[in-house]
Amino acid sequence: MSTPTPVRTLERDRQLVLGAMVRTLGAFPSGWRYPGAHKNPGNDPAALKRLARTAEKAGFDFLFLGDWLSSSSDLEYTEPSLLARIDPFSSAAYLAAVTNRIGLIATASTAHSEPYAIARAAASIDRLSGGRFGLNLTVGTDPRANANFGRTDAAGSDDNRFETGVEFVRLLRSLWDSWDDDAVVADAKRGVLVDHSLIDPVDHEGRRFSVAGPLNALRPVQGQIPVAHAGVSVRAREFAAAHADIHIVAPSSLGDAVKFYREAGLRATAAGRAPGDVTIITPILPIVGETRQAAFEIYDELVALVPLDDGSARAQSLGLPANRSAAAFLRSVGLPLLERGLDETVSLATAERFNAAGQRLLEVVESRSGRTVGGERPVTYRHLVVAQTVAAPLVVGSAVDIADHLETWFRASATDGFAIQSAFLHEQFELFAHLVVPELIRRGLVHEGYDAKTLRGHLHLTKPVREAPIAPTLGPHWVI
Amino acid sequence: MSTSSSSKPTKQIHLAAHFPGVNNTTVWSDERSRSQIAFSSFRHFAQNAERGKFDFLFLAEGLRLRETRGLIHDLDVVGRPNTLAILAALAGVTSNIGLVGTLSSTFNEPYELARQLATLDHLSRGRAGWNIVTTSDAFHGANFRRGKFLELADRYTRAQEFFDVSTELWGSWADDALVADKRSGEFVRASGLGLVDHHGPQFDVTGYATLPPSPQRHPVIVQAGDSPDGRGFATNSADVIFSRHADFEAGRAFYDDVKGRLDAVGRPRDSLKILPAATFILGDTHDEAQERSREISRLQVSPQTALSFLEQVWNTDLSGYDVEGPLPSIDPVVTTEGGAKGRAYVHTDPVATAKAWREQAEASGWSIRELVISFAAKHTFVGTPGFVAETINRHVQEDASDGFVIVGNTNPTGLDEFVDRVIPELQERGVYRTDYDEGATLHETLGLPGVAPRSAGSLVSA
Repeated sequence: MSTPTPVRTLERDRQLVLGAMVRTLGAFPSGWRYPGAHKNPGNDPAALKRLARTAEKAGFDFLFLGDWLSSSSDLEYTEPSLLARIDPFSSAAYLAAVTNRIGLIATASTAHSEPYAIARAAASIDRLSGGRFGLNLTVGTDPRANANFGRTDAAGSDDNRFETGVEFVRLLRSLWDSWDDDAVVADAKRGVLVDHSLIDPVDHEGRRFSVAGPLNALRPVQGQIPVAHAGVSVRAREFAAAHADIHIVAPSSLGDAVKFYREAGLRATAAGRAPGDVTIITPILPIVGETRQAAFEIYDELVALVPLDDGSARAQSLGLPANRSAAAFLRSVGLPLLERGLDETVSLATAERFNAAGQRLLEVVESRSGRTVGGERPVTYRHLVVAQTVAAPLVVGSAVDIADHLETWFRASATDGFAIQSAFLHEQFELFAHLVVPELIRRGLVHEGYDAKTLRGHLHLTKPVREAPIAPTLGPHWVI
Repeated sequence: MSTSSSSKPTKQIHLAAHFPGVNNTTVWSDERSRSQIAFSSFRHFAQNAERGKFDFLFLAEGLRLRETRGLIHDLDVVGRPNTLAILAALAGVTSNIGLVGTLSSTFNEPYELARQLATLDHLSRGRAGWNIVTTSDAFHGANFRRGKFLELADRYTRAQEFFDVSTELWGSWADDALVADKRSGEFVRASGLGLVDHHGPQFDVTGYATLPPSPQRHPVIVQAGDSPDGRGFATNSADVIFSRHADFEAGRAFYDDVKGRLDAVGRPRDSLKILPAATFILGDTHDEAQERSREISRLQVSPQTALSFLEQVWNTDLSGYDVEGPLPSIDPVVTTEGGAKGRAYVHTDPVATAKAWREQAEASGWSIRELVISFAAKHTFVGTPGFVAETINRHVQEDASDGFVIVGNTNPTGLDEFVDRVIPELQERGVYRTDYDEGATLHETLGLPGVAPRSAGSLVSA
């Protein structure tokens, strides 16, 4: 390409899209242990309701409900929110009844779910919520989820999984367009409820699915329900560029993010879409305090609550993941195996002997906690082990610190918006809503309240014109 | 059956509120009808039923748009949101009423559906119920990847195994599996998570449930099939039968049969409630109610609906016939591909049905429309509120039922007057609750014994 045209420009006065990633037990592995934190998944409905109302009051554009179709007790120390959670679609429908404006995104698996059932459930929640539903599609398979669905065939190559995903999402699009917006005429005099000429079958016979259609639900309020996808493999990027309205990616640095964002625009163009058709969303886990110091203290407390293997008999009995061990940590940063207490301070002399990986961890610890080797707030081995094992996109600080981070990324064209994770509920999310959101409003990065009623509206997307499904199966429509 | 009705304690009546709309009972063209699809309608319906202290509300289900002779059947409501989404949303705006949905064991996966039902139970704090239905025809199968494989005879084999796997999943977390001890950091007791390891002809499921036990642990199970297989399934596994025997004598025979089956398997008689579907028309006087019944039945069976019922049997265009005149003298067109698709009610022998209908119409002097009204829009209880309450009570006290599933004829306000006028009459008679028990689960509201989880193995029919 000779003259690279700026695919996305800074001139747009669009504001950033703000979502919340819902993990009721907290996005930090020890979050549920924090004093006052929500800890019982049996009370998730009440927690969800409170979270949704807080988010809506703060003007969040969407809530994102992830999913994973299996569970196991070994998730206890890594992702307690994945170990115990309720069904995301039902949660979205439940929240639709108790909110008015916020978008609600729930997750479905293209490997295990039925496109007809998902198209219908999504159209239904979109209807019940007045056009606020979004659908996150995962295309992956894992052996545990396969075993829950009696599948041995689902584990395929990356291409196979994405082929299924593409067929799935195209079917969704066709089913959502199987009814025209004006198909219901409800003419009592003639006794005619619908106009047959405005409802078309799908008649799809594909490699994975055969679906007759039409859908037994009206065309969604949004016409086409926004589809989200999270994934960074080459195939995932292509899938998102061609089929998604929201692409969730977590680049590890600002530089990577800017590069990714630029390329995402090019990929969308190559797929025949406008760059702005795909909203790029970056997950972030802020630890918010009234002051930076307060935020550091919250982080310190969370670190102290992460169970680590200090070599004691009790720690051995917990069955902790391998990377939770002090001994393993020391090996990984290039230190001889010495007896070190986890709460011992790292001395300057020791830090100098760290290898490159160890040096990077020292930087992570400093950015998360303000701790420096030899400083007033020293670095402990515990902090280093946690920095190594908890790889979340953490930003720790005051409302101004966090707003600075978001603004920097947004103005650098690294992303269109953020999905906020919370280390624990409800205090952390409420601090974000009450402290950070007003700061973002002050800076003009988000506006107060809502100016749109649908999720598409929140994403600055218009309602697409219906494209009646093209029936037979041989046309280019279905070529994958 | 030995009767000793004099010494029998007074039974409490159980009522369910059916949100209709997938057949001609609902008159969508009535000026009092509001949207059949908008959430505001479901909310009104649910909150009204809760005001009337109903045990539960009930949603039917259609997995595909119905068709008649290749065209979408558009005389009744179409395009309603799906059952689970509606019920989950209603959990957010109700507090006490049970939420029962119709969900097919044929086109769902047990791991997914069991989880969704447990989620509903969590969201509603113990008010979930599942009307487990079977689907076996290729018409519905054409929308699903599982396709057309299920033989009629396998419907209940699959339903039973589906139910058994679901029960295993619901029972897999021990009561004390969730520890969530902030001090020790222990979140779950690993041995408290039971591995479900099911391998059967229909399903292979190996894994852990993703959620802790819900308040009821498993939802209330409703069963609506009338076949011997259906009754057998209900005897083993259901808590409520949604029956079609609202008629007093037929109701007593059905009640006697089912409760006798319970005796045979050692289940208490009150562990399975029998609730027939019933419609009602009220009036200040008996005559006024009868007059309203006639008017509404003509709305429920419009000329188009009357012809549609006939066309489902005749399988040919009958639009030239006058619905106020006699039935067609021609015989139905018989094909292997039936005319009407997407209904539970199928005419197995159209020629015989046509003959029987013709004979009945001639004997009674009925037009096409009157004949259709006689079976499609006959109202169960017609009279003053006091009469209707008394009739309902008599059915229950004399063991023709344990209560009823009440269906209104407009949405969403059709049950409002039942709550306003009939419920107080029942309450005055001391046979119906004046309020819910605080925090009661649906199991408890229905007065079902043995809320402890049942083991899956004991439910497998021999």
